[in-house]
Amino acid sequence: MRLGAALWRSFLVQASFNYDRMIGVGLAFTMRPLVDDDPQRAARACQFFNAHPYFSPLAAGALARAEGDRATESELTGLRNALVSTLGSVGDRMIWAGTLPAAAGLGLVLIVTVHPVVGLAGFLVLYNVVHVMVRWWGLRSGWASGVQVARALGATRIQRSLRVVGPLAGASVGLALPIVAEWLLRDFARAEAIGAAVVALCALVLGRWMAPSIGGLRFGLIAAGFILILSAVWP
Amino acid sequence: MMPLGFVSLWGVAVGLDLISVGQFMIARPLVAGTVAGAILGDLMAGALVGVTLELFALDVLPVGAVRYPDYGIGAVAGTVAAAHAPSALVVGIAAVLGLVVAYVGEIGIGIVRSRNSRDLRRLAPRLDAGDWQAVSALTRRGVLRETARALVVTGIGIALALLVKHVPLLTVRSALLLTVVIVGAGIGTAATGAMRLGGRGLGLSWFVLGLLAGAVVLVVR
Repeated sequence: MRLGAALWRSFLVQASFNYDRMIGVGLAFTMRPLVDDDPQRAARACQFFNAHPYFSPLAAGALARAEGDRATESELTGLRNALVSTLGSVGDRMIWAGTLPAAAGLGLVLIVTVHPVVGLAGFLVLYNVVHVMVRWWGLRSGWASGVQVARALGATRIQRSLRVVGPLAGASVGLALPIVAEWLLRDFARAEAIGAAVVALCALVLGRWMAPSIGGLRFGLIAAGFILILSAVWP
Repeated sequence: MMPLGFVSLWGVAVGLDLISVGQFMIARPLVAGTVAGAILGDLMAGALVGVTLELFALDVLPVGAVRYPDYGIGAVAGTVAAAHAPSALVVGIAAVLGLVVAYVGEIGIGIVRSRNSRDLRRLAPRLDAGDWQAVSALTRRGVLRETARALVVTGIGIALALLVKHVPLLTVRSALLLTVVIVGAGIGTAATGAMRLGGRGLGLSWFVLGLLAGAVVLVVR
Protein backbone atom coordinates (compact mmCIF):
# COMPACT_ATOMS: atom_id res chain seq x y z
CA MET A 1 0.00 0.00 0.00
CA ARG A 2 2.75 2.42 1.05
CA LEU A 3 4.87 1.37 -1.93
CA GLY A 4 1.90 2.08 -4.24
CA ALA A 5 1.53 5.58 -2.79
CA ALA A 6 5.27 6.18 -3.23
CA LEU A 7 5.06 5.00 -6.85
CA TRP A 8 2.26 7.49 -7.61
CA ARG A 9 4.21 10.28 -5.96
CA SER A 10 7.30 9.38 -8.00
CA PHE A 11 5.50 10.61 -11.13
CA LEU A 12 5.82 14.13 -9.65
CA VAL A 13 9.51 13.80 -8.75
CA GLN A 14 10.51 16.60 -11.15
CA ALA A 15 7.61 18.96 -10.35
CA SER A 16 9.74 21.04 -7.98
CA PHE A 17 12.93 20.78 -10.10
CA ASN A 18 15.26 23.67 -9.29
CA TYR A 19 18.89 24.65 -9.80
CA ASP A 20 19.75 24.46 -6.08
CA ARG A 21 18.73 20.95 -5.00
CA MET A 22 17.65 19.55 -8.40
CA ILE A 23 15.10 16.77 -7.64
CA GLY A 24 15.98 16.60 -3.92
CA VAL A 25 12.57 17.91 -2.83
CA GLY A 26 10.84 15.59 -5.34
CA LEU A 27 12.73 12.64 -3.86
CA ALA A 28 11.51 13.60 -0.38
CA PHE A 29 7.96 13.89 -1.76
CA THR A 30 8.28 10.31 -3.12
CA MET A 31 9.74 8.98 0.15
CA ARG A 32 7.03 10.50 2.35
CA PRO A 33 4.73 7.40 2.55
CA LEU A 34 7.74 5.22 3.47
CA VAL A 35 9.15 7.16 6.42
CA ASP A 36 7.75 8.39 9.73
CA ASP A 37 7.21 12.00 10.84
CA ASP A 38 10.71 12.47 12.31
CA PRO A 39 11.82 16.00 11.26
CA GLN A 40 15.46 14.95 11.00
CA ARG A 41 14.50 12.40 8.32
CA ALA A 42 12.51 14.99 6.45
CA ALA A 43 15.45 17.42 6.56
CA ARG A 44 17.83 14.75 5.24
CA ALA A 45 15.39 13.55 2.55
CA CYS A 46 15.10 16.90 0.78
CA GLN A 47 18.80 17.72 0.41
CA PHE A 48 20.47 17.92 -3.04
CA PHE A 49 19.77 14.94 -5.27
CA ASN A 50 19.79 14.32 -8.98
CA ALA A 51 19.29 11.15 -10.99
CA HIS A 52 17.26 9.89 -13.88
CA PRO A 53 13.62 10.49 -12.86
CA TYR A 54 12.53 6.90 -13.65
CA PHE A 55 15.28 5.47 -11.42
CA SER A 56 14.65 7.93 -8.57
CA PRO A 57 12.11 5.53 -6.93
CA LEU A 58 15.01 3.13 -6.42
CA ALA A 59 16.82 5.84 -4.46
CA ALA A 60 13.63 6.73 -2.58
CA GLY A 61 13.08 3.08 -1.58
CA ALA A 62 16.70 2.48 -0.60
CA LEU A 63 17.04 5.69 1.44
CA ALA A 64 13.69 5.13 3.19
CA ARG A 65 14.67 1.54 4.07
CA ALA A 66 18.09 2.73 5.30
CA GLU A 67 16.38 5.36 7.47
CA GLY A 68 14.09 2.66 8.90
CA ASP A 69 17.08 0.40 9.56
CA ARG A 70 18.71 3.21 11.57
CA ALA A 71 21.67 3.60 9.22
CA THR A 72 24.27 6.09 10.41
CA GLU A 73 24.45 9.64 9.06
CA SER A 74 27.61 8.83 7.10
CA GLU A 75 26.05 5.66 5.61
CA LEU A 76 23.03 7.66 4.46
CA THR A 77 25.19 10.41 2.95
CA GLY A 78 27.42 7.85 1.23
CA LEU A 79 24.42 5.99 -0.20
CA ARG A 80 22.84 9.21 -1.44
CA ASN A 81 26.05 10.41 -3.13
CA ALA A 82 26.71 7.01 -4.72
CA LEU A 83 23.21 6.84 -6.16
CA VAL A 84 23.39 10.30 -7.80
CA SER A 85 25.97 9.42 -10.43
CA THR A 86 25.05 5.73 -10.79
CA LEU A 87 21.32 6.19 -11.33
CA GLY A 88 21.94 9.14 -13.65
CA SER A 89 24.28 7.14 -15.85
CA VAL A 90 22.21 3.92 -15.94
CA GLY A 91 18.96 5.81 -16.54
CA ASP A 92 20.33 8.03 -19.29
CA ARG A 93 21.76 5.03 -21.14
CA MET A 94 18.75 2.77 -20.68
CA ILE A 95 15.95 5.29 -21.21
CA TRP A 96 17.00 8.49 -22.99
CA ALA A 97 19.62 6.89 -25.24
CA GLY A 98 17.92 3.50 -25.54
CA THR A 99 14.24 2.84 -24.90
CA LEU A 100 12.98 6.27 -26.02
CA PRO A 101 14.63 6.43 -29.47
CA ALA A 102 13.93 2.70 -30.01
CA ALA A 103 10.22 3.12 -29.28
CA ALA A 104 10.00 6.43 -31.19
CA GLY A 105 11.64 4.87 -34.27
CA LEU A 106 9.19 1.99 -34.18
CA GLY A 107 6.28 4.39 -33.65
CA LEU A 108 7.33 6.43 -36.68
CA VAL A 109 7.53 3.29 -38.85
CA LEU A 110 4.05 2.17 -37.71
CA ILE A 111 2.54 5.63 -38.30
CA VAL A 112 3.85 5.68 -41.85
CA THR A 113 3.36 2.05 -42.86
CA VAL A 114 0.22 1.03 -40.92
CA HIS A 115 -1.86 3.88 -39.43
CA PRO A 116 -1.16 6.96 -37.27
CA VAL A 117 -3.28 5.61 -34.39
CA VAL A 118 -1.46 2.25 -34.45
CA GLY A 119 1.87 4.10 -34.47
CA LEU A 120 1.16 6.30 -31.48
CA ALA A 121 -0.50 3.47 -29.54
CA GLY A 122 2.46 1.17 -30.26
CA PHE A 123 4.92 3.83 -29.16
CA LEU A 124 3.06 4.69 -25.94
CA VAL A 125 2.47 1.07 -24.90
CA LEU A 126 6.00 -0.11 -25.67
CA TYR A 127 7.65 2.87 -23.98
CA ASN A 128 5.43 2.99 -20.90
CA VAL A 129 5.63 -0.74 -20.19
CA VAL A 130 9.38 -0.23 -19.75
CA HIS A 131 8.89 3.13 -17.99
CA VAL A 132 6.44 1.93 -15.32
CA MET A 133 8.29 -1.38 -14.87
CA VAL A 134 11.55 0.49 -14.20
CA ARG A 135 9.89 2.72 -11.60
CA TRP A 136 8.13 -0.17 -9.83
CA TRP A 137 11.13 -2.52 -9.96
CA GLY A 138 13.38 0.29 -8.68
CA LEU A 139 11.09 1.16 -5.80
CA ARG A 140 10.71 -2.48 -4.72
CA SER A 141 14.42 -3.25 -5.11
CA GLY A 142 15.45 -0.15 -3.18
CA TRP A 143 12.91 -0.85 -0.42
CA ALA A 144 14.07 -4.46 -0.15
CA SER A 145 17.79 -3.69 -0.20
CA GLY A 146 18.41 -0.44 1.70
CA VAL A 147 22.13 0.34 1.82
CA GLN A 148 22.84 -2.88 -0.14
CA VAL A 149 21.00 -1.52 -3.20
CA ALA A 150 24.13 -1.64 -5.39
CA ARG A 151 23.44 -5.37 -5.81
CA ALA A 152 20.16 -4.60 -7.59
CA LEU A 153 21.92 -2.33 -10.07
CA GLY A 154 24.56 -4.99 -10.72
CA ALA A 155 21.88 -7.57 -11.54
CA THR A 156 22.51 -9.33 -14.84
CA ARG A 157 19.10 -8.29 -16.16
CA ILE A 158 20.03 -4.60 -15.94
CA GLN A 159 23.49 -5.12 -17.42
CA ARG A 160 22.05 -7.21 -20.27
CA SER A 161 19.39 -4.57 -20.99
CA LEU A 162 22.06 -1.87 -21.16
CA ARG A 163 24.00 -3.89 -23.75
CA VAL A 164 20.93 -4.54 -25.93
CA VAL A 165 19.02 -1.27 -25.79
CA GLY A 166 21.61 1.05 -27.41
CA PRO A 167 22.04 -0.96 -30.62
CA LEU A 168 18.26 -1.46 -30.72
CA ALA A 169 17.76 2.33 -30.62
CA GLY A 170 20.29 2.88 -33.43
CA ALA A 171 18.68 0.22 -35.61
CA SER A 172 15.16 1.50 -34.93
CA VAL A 173 15.95 5.15 -35.81
CA GLY A 174 17.97 3.98 -38.83
CA LEU A 175 15.02 1.90 -40.04
CA ALA A 176 12.61 4.81 -39.58
CA LEU A 177 14.61 7.50 -41.39
CA PRO A 178 14.34 6.34 -45.05
CA ILE A 179 10.70 5.29 -44.58
CA VAL A 180 9.72 8.62 -42.99
CA ALA A 181 11.71 10.64 -45.57
CA GLU A 182 9.97 8.86 -48.45
CA TRP A 183 6.55 9.42 -46.81
CA LEU A 184 7.10 13.14 -46.19
CA LEU A 185 8.50 13.75 -49.68
CA ARG A 186 6.24 11.39 -51.64
CA ASP A 187 4.38 14.21 -53.42
CA PHE A 188 7.53 16.10 -54.36
CA ALA A 189 9.53 16.00 -57.61
CA ARG A 190 12.96 14.34 -57.77
CA ALA A 191 14.79 17.72 -57.74
CA GLU A 192 13.00 18.73 -54.54
CA ALA A 193 13.79 15.40 -52.89
CA ILE A 194 17.46 15.92 -53.80
CA GLY A 195 17.25 19.42 -52.28
CA ALA A 196 15.92 17.92 -49.02
CA ALA A 197 18.78 15.39 -49.04
CA VAL A 198 21.33 18.22 -49.44
CA VAL A 199 19.78 20.11 -46.49
CA ALA A 200 19.81 16.88 -44.46
CA LEU A 201 23.50 16.40 -45.22
CA CYS A 202 24.26 20.01 -44.18
CA ALA A 203 22.34 19.48 -40.90
CA LEU A 204 24.26 16.25 -40.27
CA VAL A 205 27.71 17.72 -40.99
CA LEU A 206 27.01 20.84 -38.91
CA GLY A 207 25.34 18.98 -36.05
CA ARG A 208 27.76 16.09 -35.85
CA TRP A 209 31.15 17.63 -36.64
CA MET A 210 31.28 21.39 -37.31
CA ALA A 211 28.93 23.01 -34.79
CA PRO A 212 27.36 20.38 -32.48
CA SER A 213 26.15 23.06 -30.06
CA ILE A 214 23.84 24.60 -32.65
CA GLY A 215 21.20 21.83 -32.27
CA GLY A 216 18.44 20.79 -34.65
CA LEU A 217 15.98 23.45 -33.53
CA ARG A 218 18.30 26.36 -34.22
CA PHE A 219 19.48 24.88 -37.53
CA GLY A 220 15.83 24.45 -38.60
CA LEU A 221 14.94 28.01 -37.61
CA ILE A 222 18.01 29.48 -39.35
CA ALA A 223 17.32 27.51 -42.54
CA ALA A 224 13.63 28.50 -42.48
CA GLY A 225 14.59 32.16 -41.86
CA PHE A 226 16.91 32.04 -44.85
CA ILE A 227 14.09 30.73 -47.08
CA LEU A 228 11.63 33.33 -45.77
CA ILE A 229 14.09 36.18 -46.44
CA LEU A 230 14.82 34.75 -49.88
CA SER A 231 11.10 34.60 -50.60
CA ALA A 232 10.61 38.20 -49.53
CA VAL A 233 13.52 39.48 -51.63
CA TRP A 234 12.82 37.28 -54.64
CA PRO A 235 9.08 36.46 -54.67
CA MET B 1 -14.51 26.93 -31.06
CA MET B 2 -15.11 23.66 -29.17
CA PRO B 3 -12.29 21.73 -30.86
CA LEU B 4 -9.91 24.66 -30.18
CA GLY B 5 -10.87 24.52 -26.49
CA PHE B 6 -10.15 20.79 -26.37
CA VAL B 7 -6.90 21.21 -28.28
CA SER B 8 -5.84 23.91 -25.78
CA LEU B 9 -6.50 21.50 -22.90
CA TRP B 10 -4.50 18.87 -24.77
CA GLY B 11 -1.65 21.39 -25.16
CA VAL B 12 -1.61 21.98 -21.39
CA ALA B 13 -1.57 18.23 -20.70
CA VAL B 14 1.30 17.82 -23.18
CA GLY B 15 3.24 20.68 -21.56
CA LEU B 16 2.82 19.15 -18.10
CA ASP B 17 3.95 15.71 -19.28
CA LEU B 18 7.20 17.05 -20.73
CA ILE B 19 8.97 17.28 -17.35
CA SER B 20 6.82 17.79 -14.29
CA VAL B 21 3.95 15.30 -14.34
CA GLY B 22 4.42 11.69 -15.35
CA GLN B 23 6.67 11.85 -18.39
CA PHE B 24 4.50 9.25 -20.11
CA MET B 25 5.73 10.76 -23.40
CA ILE B 26 2.43 12.18 -24.59
CA ALA B 27 4.69 15.24 -25.02
CA ARG B 28 6.49 13.54 -27.93
CA PRO B 29 5.48 15.35 -31.13
CA LEU B 30 4.39 12.14 -32.84
CA VAL B 31 1.78 11.66 -30.08
CA ALA B 32 0.94 15.33 -29.42
CA GLY B 33 0.50 16.17 -33.11
CA THR B 34 -1.50 13.07 -34.02
CA VAL B 35 -3.91 13.47 -31.09
CA ALA B 36 -4.32 17.21 -31.85
CA GLY B 37 -5.12 16.24 -35.45
CA ALA B 38 -7.74 13.74 -34.23
CA ILE B 39 -9.33 16.41 -32.00
CA LEU B 40 -9.48 18.84 -34.93
CA GLY B 41 -10.85 16.19 -37.30
CA ASP B 42 -7.74 16.01 -39.49
CA LEU B 43 -5.70 13.08 -38.24
CA MET B 44 -3.36 13.07 -41.23
CA ALA B 45 -2.35 16.75 -40.78
CA GLY B 46 -1.54 16.04 -37.14
CA ALA B 47 0.50 12.97 -38.12
CA LEU B 48 2.43 14.92 -40.77
CA VAL B 49 3.33 17.76 -38.40
CA GLY B 50 3.99 15.35 -35.52
CA VAL B 51 6.29 13.10 -37.56
CA THR B 52 8.21 16.11 -38.94
CA LEU B 53 8.81 17.57 -35.48
CA GLU B 54 9.60 14.12 -34.03
CA LEU B 55 12.65 14.09 -36.32
CA PHE B 56 13.91 17.21 -34.53
CA ALA B 57 13.01 15.79 -31.09
CA LEU B 58 15.15 12.69 -31.72
CA ASP B 59 18.21 14.91 -31.29
CA VAL B 60 17.30 15.85 -27.71
CA LEU B 61 19.09 14.13 -24.84
CA PRO B 62 17.41 15.50 -21.70
CA VAL B 63 20.20 14.69 -19.23
CA GLY B 64 20.90 16.50 -15.97
CA ALA B 65 19.58 20.06 -15.70
CA VAL B 66 19.60 20.68 -19.45
CA ARG B 67 16.75 22.79 -20.89
CA TYR B 68 15.21 21.50 -24.07
CA PRO B 69 12.63 22.62 -26.63
CA ASP B 70 8.97 21.86 -25.96
CA TYR B 71 8.28 20.09 -29.25
CA GLY B 72 4.99 18.68 -27.91
CA ILE B 73 3.18 22.01 -27.65
CA GLY B 74 4.97 22.98 -30.89
CA ALA B 75 3.32 19.99 -32.60
CA VAL B 76 -0.08 20.95 -31.18
CA ALA B 77 0.25 24.53 -32.50
CA GLY B 78 1.62 23.33 -35.85
CA THR B 79 -1.33 20.95 -36.22
CA VAL B 80 -3.80 23.79 -35.59
CA ALA B 81 -2.10 25.68 -38.45
CA ALA B 82 -2.09 22.67 -40.80
CA ALA B 83 -5.51 21.14 -40.07
CA HIS B 84 -7.97 21.26 -43.00
CA ALA B 85 -5.50 23.24 -45.14
CA PRO B 86 -6.13 22.95 -48.89
CA SER B 87 -2.55 21.89 -49.65
CA ALA B 88 0.00 19.59 -48.00
CA LEU B 89 2.56 22.36 -48.58
CA VAL B 90 1.33 23.99 -45.36
CA VAL B 91 3.34 21.35 -43.45
CA GLY B 92 6.52 23.41 -43.90
CA ILE B 93 5.18 26.60 -42.36
CA ALA B 94 3.30 24.59 -39.70
CA ALA B 95 6.52 22.83 -38.70
CA VAL B 96 8.42 26.16 -38.58
CA LEU B 97 5.69 27.50 -36.32
CA GLY B 98 6.13 24.35 -34.22
CA LEU B 99 9.87 25.04 -33.91
CA VAL B 100 9.23 28.66 -32.81
CA VAL B 101 6.70 27.52 -30.19
CA ALA B 102 9.10 24.79 -29.03
CA TYR B 103 11.73 27.47 -28.48
CA VAL B 104 9.27 29.65 -26.52
CA GLY B 105 8.50 26.58 -24.41
CA GLU B 106 12.22 26.08 -23.75
CA ILE B 107 12.52 29.65 -22.47
CA GLY B 108 9.50 28.99 -20.25
CA ILE B 109 11.21 25.95 -18.72
CA GLY B 110 14.12 28.16 -17.63
CA ILE B 111 11.74 30.67 -16.05
CA VAL B 112 9.83 27.95 -14.17
CA ARG B 113 13.05 26.45 -12.80
CA SER B 114 14.33 29.85 -11.68
CA ARG B 115 11.04 30.54 -9.89
CA ASN B 116 11.22 27.08 -8.29
CA SER B 117 14.74 27.91 -7.07
CA ARG B 118 13.58 31.21 -5.58
CA ASP B 119 10.68 29.44 -3.88
CA LEU B 120 13.03 26.79 -2.52
CA ARG B 121 15.41 29.39 -1.04
CA ARG B 122 12.46 31.06 0.66
CA LEU B 123 11.29 27.77 2.18
CA ALA B 124 14.79 26.39 2.88
CA PRO B 125 14.63 27.10 6.66
CA ARG B 126 11.40 25.09 6.91
CA LEU B 127 12.85 22.26 4.81
CA ASP B 128 16.00 22.14 6.92
CA ALA B 129 13.85 22.05 10.06
CA GLY B 130 12.17 18.92 8.66
CA ASP B 131 8.76 20.33 7.72
CA TRP B 132 7.05 17.79 5.43
CA GLN B 133 4.37 20.36 4.56
CA ALA B 134 7.02 22.52 2.91
CA VAL B 135 7.93 19.55 0.67
CA SER B 136 4.30 19.19 -0.45
CA ALA B 137 3.93 22.96 -0.90
CA LEU B 138 6.97 23.14 -3.20
CA THR B 139 5.68 20.22 -5.28
CA ARG B 140 2.20 21.74 -5.54
CA ARG B 141 3.55 25.16 -6.56
CA GLY B 142 5.89 23.56 -9.08
CA VAL B 143 2.94 21.84 -10.77
CA LEU B 144 0.98 25.11 -10.78
CA ARG B 145 3.90 26.99 -12.35
CA GLU B 146 4.31 24.33 -15.01
CA THR B 147 0.57 24.46 -15.72
CA ALA B 148 0.82 28.23 -16.17
CA ARG B 149 3.81 27.79 -18.51
CA ALA B 150 1.96 25.19 -20.59
CA LEU B 151 -1.13 27.39 -20.73
CA VAL B 152 0.81 30.48 -21.87
CA VAL B 153 2.90 28.59 -24.46
CA THR B 154 -0.19 26.80 -25.82
CA GLY B 155 -2.03 30.13 -26.01
CA ILE B 156 0.82 31.79 -27.90
CA GLY B 157 1.11 28.77 -30.19
CA ILE B 158 -2.58 28.64 -31.06
CA ALA B 159 -2.74 32.42 -31.62
CA LEU B 160 0.22 32.22 -34.02
CA ALA B 161 -1.32 29.17 -35.71
CA LEU B 162 -4.59 31.00 -36.35
CA LEU B 163 -2.61 33.92 -37.79
CA VAL B 164 -0.70 31.59 -40.13
CA LYS B 165 -3.93 29.83 -41.08
CA HIS B 166 -5.90 32.93 -41.99
CA VAL B 167 -3.24 35.30 -43.34
CA PRO B 168 -1.52 33.98 -46.49
CA LEU B 169 2.13 34.62 -45.73
CA LEU B 170 3.80 32.62 -48.50
CA THR B 171 3.59 32.00 -52.21
CA VAL B 172 3.24 28.39 -53.40
CA ARG B 173 6.93 28.33 -54.38
CA SER B 174 8.04 29.62 -50.97
CA ALA B 175 5.80 27.13 -49.17
CA LEU B 176 7.28 24.32 -51.24
CA LEU B 177 10.86 25.44 -50.54
CA LEU B 178 10.14 25.79 -46.85
CA THR B 179 8.66 22.28 -46.66
CA VAL B 180 11.65 20.79 -48.48
CA VAL B 181 14.12 22.60 -46.19
CA ILE B 182 12.30 21.69 -42.96
CA VAL B 183 11.93 18.01 -43.89
CA GLY B 184 15.63 17.91 -44.87
CA ALA B 185 16.66 19.65 -41.65
CA GLY B 186 14.55 17.20 -39.63
CA ILE B 187 16.07 14.13 -41.27
CA GLY B 188 19.59 15.50 -40.81
CA THR B 189 18.85 16.33 -37.18
CA ALA B 190 17.46 12.84 -36.43
CA ALA B 191 20.49 11.23 -38.08
CA THR B 192 22.79 13.48 -36.00
CA GLY B 193 21.02 12.43 -32.81
CA ALA B 194 21.17 8.72 -33.68
CA MET B 195 24.87 8.91 -34.58
CA ARG B 196 25.68 10.80 -31.38
CA LEU B 197 23.90 8.17 -29.28
CA GLY B 198 25.46 5.31 -31.18
CA GLY B 199 29.02 6.61 -30.93
CA ARG B 200 31.65 5.20 -33.28
CA GLY B 201 31.49 1.48 -32.62
CA LEU B 202 28.73 -1.06 -32.42
CA GLY B 203 25.95 1.54 -32.07
CA LEU B 204 26.88 3.20 -35.36
CA SER B 205 26.94 -0.18 -37.10
CA TRP B 206 23.40 -0.89 -35.92
CA PHE B 207 22.27 2.54 -37.11
CA VAL B 208 23.72 1.87 -40.59
CA LEU B 209 22.14 -1.60 -40.57
CA GLY B 210 18.80 0.02 -39.74
CA LEU B 211 19.21 2.50 -42.61
CA LEU B 212 19.85 -0.37 -45.01
CA ALA B 213 16.83 -2.27 -43.70
CA GLY B 214 14.70 0.86 -44.19
CA ALA B 215 15.92 1.18 -47.76
CA VAL B 216 15.06 -2.48 -48.39
CA VAL B 217 11.54 -1.94 -47.00
CA LEU B 218 11.08 0.98 -49.43
CA VAL B 219 12.22 -1.11 -52.39
CA VAL B 220 9.99 -4.05 -51.41
CA ARG B 221 6.95 -1.79 -50.91
